[in-house]
Amino acid sequence: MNLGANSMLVFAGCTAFGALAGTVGTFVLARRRALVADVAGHATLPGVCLAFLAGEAFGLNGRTPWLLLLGGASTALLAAWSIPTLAQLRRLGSDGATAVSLAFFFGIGAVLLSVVQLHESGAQGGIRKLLFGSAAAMTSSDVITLTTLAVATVAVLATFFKEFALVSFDEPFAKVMGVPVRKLDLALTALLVATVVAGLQVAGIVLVVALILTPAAAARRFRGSLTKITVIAATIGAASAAAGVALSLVVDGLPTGSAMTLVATVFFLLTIARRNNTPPVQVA
Amino acid sequence: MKKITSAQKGGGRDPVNSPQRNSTLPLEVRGLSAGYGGERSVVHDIAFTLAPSTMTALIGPNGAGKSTLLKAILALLPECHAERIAFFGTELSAARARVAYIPQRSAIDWNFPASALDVVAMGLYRKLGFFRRVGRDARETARAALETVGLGAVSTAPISELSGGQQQRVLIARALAQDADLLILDEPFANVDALTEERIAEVLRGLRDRDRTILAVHHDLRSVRRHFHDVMVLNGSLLAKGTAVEVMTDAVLAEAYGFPLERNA
Repeated sequence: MNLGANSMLVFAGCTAFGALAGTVGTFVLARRRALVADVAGHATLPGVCLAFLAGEAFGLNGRTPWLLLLGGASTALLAAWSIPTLAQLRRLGSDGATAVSLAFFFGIGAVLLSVVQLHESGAQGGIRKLLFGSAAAMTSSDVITLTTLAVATVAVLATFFKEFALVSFDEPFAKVMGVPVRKLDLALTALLVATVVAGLQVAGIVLVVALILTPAAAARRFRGSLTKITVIAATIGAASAAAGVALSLVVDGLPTGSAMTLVATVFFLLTIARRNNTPPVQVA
Repeated sequence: MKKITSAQKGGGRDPVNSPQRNSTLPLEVRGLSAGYGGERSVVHDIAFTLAPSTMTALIGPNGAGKSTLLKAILALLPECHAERIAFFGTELSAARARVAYIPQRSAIDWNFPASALDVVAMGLYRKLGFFRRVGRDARETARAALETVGLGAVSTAPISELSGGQQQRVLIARALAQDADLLILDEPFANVDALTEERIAEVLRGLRDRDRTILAVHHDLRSVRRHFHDVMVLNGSLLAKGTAVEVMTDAVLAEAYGFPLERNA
C-alpha cells in the first residue's frame, strides 16, 4: 500500500464527505425524509445526462464536471420539490408521490443514458465517473470544495439546530409557535441535494444515498440527544469513508464508493448485533 | 361585543395572577368553515368564545371535525374561511407566545432522539429566539415543569421509552414551560389508564385555577362532567355550548351521537 500525495488527498476528501453525509443524513432521517434522499440521488441521472447532451450539442465539452453536476443538482431539486407537491393531490399520499417521482426521474435518466451511450466512448468518461464514483481521481480543489461544503453545512445545521429539532419532533406545534417550517424544509432539501451532488464523484449516483443514510441509521440505534446522534453519525460516516478508501487501495479493483458503502453497512449491522440493554423506566 | 382595551403581546408578564391575563377573551371564533379541499367543508358556521380561566371539552362523534376545528383555529389547515379568529383580541401571529397546542400523540415522532427534558425545553424556544442555545435557566424551568406533572424522576429518559401517559404529560409540561395562557389539546386523555387520566385532569384543573384557559378534545362521554365545567358539542356544526350540566342532556347527545347518554355508566 503506497500512500502517496494523491492517496492522502483521496483520504482527506472522502473523510470530509463521510462526515458531511452522516451529519446531513441524521437530520434527513429525523425529519423522516429518507426516501426523499433516495429520490434526489437517483434523480441526478437525467440532469447529468441532459447536461452532457447539451454540452455536446452546444460545442462545450460534455465532460466538464461543473456542467454535469449543475445538471444533476437541477433535476435532483426538481424531484425533491415534486414529492410534497404531488403528495398534496387527494388520496395519493407521500409514499405514492415518492414512488412516482423516483420512477419518473430514474426512468427518464435511463432513457437519456442510452442516448448518451450513442456518443463516442471517450466522451462518456465524465458520466461514467459520476455513475459509479471515482474517488481515486480526486484533485486538491475537490477536497477544498468538499471540506468547505461540510463546514458550511455544519454551520447552518448548528445555527438552526433547535428549530430543525422542533420541526422534526412535532411539526404542528412548531407551526403554532411560528417556526418557519417551509423555509427550514427548503434549507434541508438544499443541503441534501448539495451533499448528493458533492458525493457523486465520491460514490456515484446509486451509492451516494447509502453513504448519507446508512451511518445516520446506525447512529439512531444509540440512545441520546440529537446532538449526540449527529456526532455518532458523522464519526461513522468519516470512519466508513476512510476505511473504504483504505480497502480499495488494498483490494485490487474494488471501487472506493462500494468499499465505503460496505463498511458503513457493517457498522449498521454491528449496531443490530450490539445488545440493547436499556434499563426500563420505573416511575408511574 | 366586548371592547378590547389592551391588545397585549406575550412576554414580560410574569406574575401568574397579573390582571392582564384576564383582560381579553382568550379565544373568539366567528363564521368559521374549514375542510381538506374536498367538495364539502368538514366544519361549518362555527362561532364561539372562550372565557378566561375556563376548561372546556370539545365533544362529538368520530368524524365530527373536532381535530379539524382545532387545526383550523390554529391556521394549520390549507382550507379555512373565518370572519374572525382572535386570540386575546389579536391575531395568532401576535399571540403565539400565549397559545400552546398539544396535538394528538400520533402527530409526533416518538422515536425522535430526545429526553423528556429536551422536549419540555422546546416550549421555551420561542422565548429563547433563534441562535440561542438552551441554557441553565431554561433547563431549570423545564425541570420545574416536569416536576409539576409528576415526571421529575424521568427527566433524562429518552421519550421513546416513556409510556403513553407519561408522553402525554411531557407535552403538558412543555405547555407549562411555555407559560401559555391558552392551552389547546387534542385528545389529552386518549389511550391513558384511569390513574393517568386523573393526574392529567388534575394538572389541567390546577392550570385553570391559575387563570389559564383550556380547550380539549374529549371522547369519553362518561368522564366529561367529572373533568370539565364547560362543553361544546360538535357534529359538523356546533350543536350546543354551555356548562356540562346544561349541555349533556339526552336531547343534545341524541342529536350529536344518535343515542342518549347512559345515565348510570
